[in-house]
Amino acid sequence: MNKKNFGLGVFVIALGFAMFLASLGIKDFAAVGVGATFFPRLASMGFVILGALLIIQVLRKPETTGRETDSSEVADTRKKYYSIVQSIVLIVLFLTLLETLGYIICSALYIFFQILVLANEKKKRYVLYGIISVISSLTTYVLFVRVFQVMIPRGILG
Amino acid sequence: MIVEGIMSVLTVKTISLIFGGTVLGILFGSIPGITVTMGVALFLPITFSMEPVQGLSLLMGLYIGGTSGGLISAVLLNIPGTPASICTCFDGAPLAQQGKAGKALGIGIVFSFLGGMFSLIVLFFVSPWLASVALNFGAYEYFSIGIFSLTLVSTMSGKSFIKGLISALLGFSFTFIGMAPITALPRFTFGFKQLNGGLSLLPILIGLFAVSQLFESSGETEQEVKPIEYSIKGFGFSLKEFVSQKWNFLRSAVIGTGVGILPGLGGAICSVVAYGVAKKQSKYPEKFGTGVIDGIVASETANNASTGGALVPLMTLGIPGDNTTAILLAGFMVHGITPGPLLFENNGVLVYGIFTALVLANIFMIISEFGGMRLFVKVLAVPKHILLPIVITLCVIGSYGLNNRMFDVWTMLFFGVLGFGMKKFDIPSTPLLLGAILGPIIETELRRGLMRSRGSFLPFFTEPISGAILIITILIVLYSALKTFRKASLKKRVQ
Repeated sequence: MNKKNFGLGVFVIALGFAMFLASLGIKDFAAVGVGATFFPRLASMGFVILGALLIIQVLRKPETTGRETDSSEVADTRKKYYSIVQSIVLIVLFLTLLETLGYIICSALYIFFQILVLANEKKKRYVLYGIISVISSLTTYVLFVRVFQVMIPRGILG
Repeated sequence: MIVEGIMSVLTVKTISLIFGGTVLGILFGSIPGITVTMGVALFLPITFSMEPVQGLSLLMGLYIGGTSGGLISAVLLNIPGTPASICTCFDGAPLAQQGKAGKALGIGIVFSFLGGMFSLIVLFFVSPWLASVALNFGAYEYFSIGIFSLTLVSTMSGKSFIKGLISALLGFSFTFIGMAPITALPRFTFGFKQLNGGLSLLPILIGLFAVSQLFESSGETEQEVKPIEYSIKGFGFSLKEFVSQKWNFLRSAVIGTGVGILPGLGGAICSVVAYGVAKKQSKYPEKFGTGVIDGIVASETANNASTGGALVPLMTLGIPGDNTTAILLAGFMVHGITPGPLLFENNGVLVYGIFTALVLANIFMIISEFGGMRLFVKVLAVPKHILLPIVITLCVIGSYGLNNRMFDVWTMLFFGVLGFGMKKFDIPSTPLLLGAILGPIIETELRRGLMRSRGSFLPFFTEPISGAILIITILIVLYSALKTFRKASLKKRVQ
């Protein structure tokens, strides 16, 4: 059984029910035709149907004997998910501090640490990464703020 | 109006923007893992402060350059730079390994150019005509076209059409957030004031197509990139070889433009279809995949021909032909311009300005790819772990610059995580994007239509154009369902 698709089916059905419940709170008045609740309810029904279809598809498929995964593969996946979580945490920190510290400091720090996360097994060249992060942060700032007049949070340096 | 449009582009600033856009586009297209969609999304914020014609010219340059740039890495690295150049690898890479990389590149570049120009001619003649037809479209027709486009994308873009539909429905559902059309009452805002206006399209796009890529690359061991040595003399191929490809070219160009016109199906599908047909029609199908030029011609002609095709529904109906044109749609809207049939009446000068920009971009593309190949190959070697973090900071600038609020940046991150999760579950993200764009159109037009028909659904089916489109839509769904069912029972029988 494809557990992934089965779980997805259950999730999609739950999403449909949640949407239906949320749609009960919509204020609506429509003299003719359908109102503001029509499509949300239709979509929630759609989710339930599609989720059910997905589950039926999974159940109808004959069992396939899964290949045994060895321990090195498991360790690899774990490592991979660890770096994905690290990347998400880094971006969340970047966004949280952006308005107080400002773009230049935040992005330089972010680029530096994100390179370290992505470079995982390579030889870490800290000085090079540091130079790259400072230069690219300054260049993008000057380019976007001065030349293209896009607003960016300046923070404590502004 | 046509002359005025051409003149509006012929300024030093606009021409240099197109040139810069094309060169950057080629870079984005050629670096694997960084797509043209990403490139256009990142550069959209730059255009905020520009005149519409300048901003859109820059974006068109990126679009044209990026679609072609994928062939460089396809030939020299055997890795497609963009999804649209997957089929270029099949014959481009073997040819390069035989020491004929210059020939593969030359053919790819020239036929990219020809395919692109072919589709522009079609765009130039078809779109004004289609726009004049679409002027008579009302609520019924727009509703049907919306449903048709969404169905087509859902059934075509993934392996499973159920997952495609889930994705489309999800995209549609995100548009429920904010003011409901017509009655303008807020829904699904969960008490957040920022949600009253709904979600902006740009952060959704950047999240789905750029930020998700970072998570994809996290934890992956990056391979050392070593481009194959090459040399090009002249165009890299003989006149005889060129002439031998004329029917293959024409067929692939027609397929690329035709499939490109269909909403939501981008260059990747175009080139796969064209490659498949070229192989089937060939006198020596067994040689495909070993380094025959026919394969490169089919793939590169078709994916570049999809550019002009994809712009047809965008400019005449406001419905994007692929992911990248979806961002171009956002590019129009940032400047307060709504693409659609009225664009040709109200903004004719801009329309012909864009056409001119597209022609120039194709010319710059062929010149810079022949002239600057050394540079592009150098950039291929820049490691992704250094590029991606910089790309993310540009994503943040772009999302923030839209409305100067952090809310949009958080939206971007949300869709980045969502896009990554969807990839893990094999759910295609293009239907979500189309759902988010077409959702409001479908909902508004249905409600408008029902007001006109006093609550009856019948006219949606009995009006000739609308009815025909809906019937085709139903047929597509039935066909896909049947195909899925057959596949399942076939598998069962085999076992």
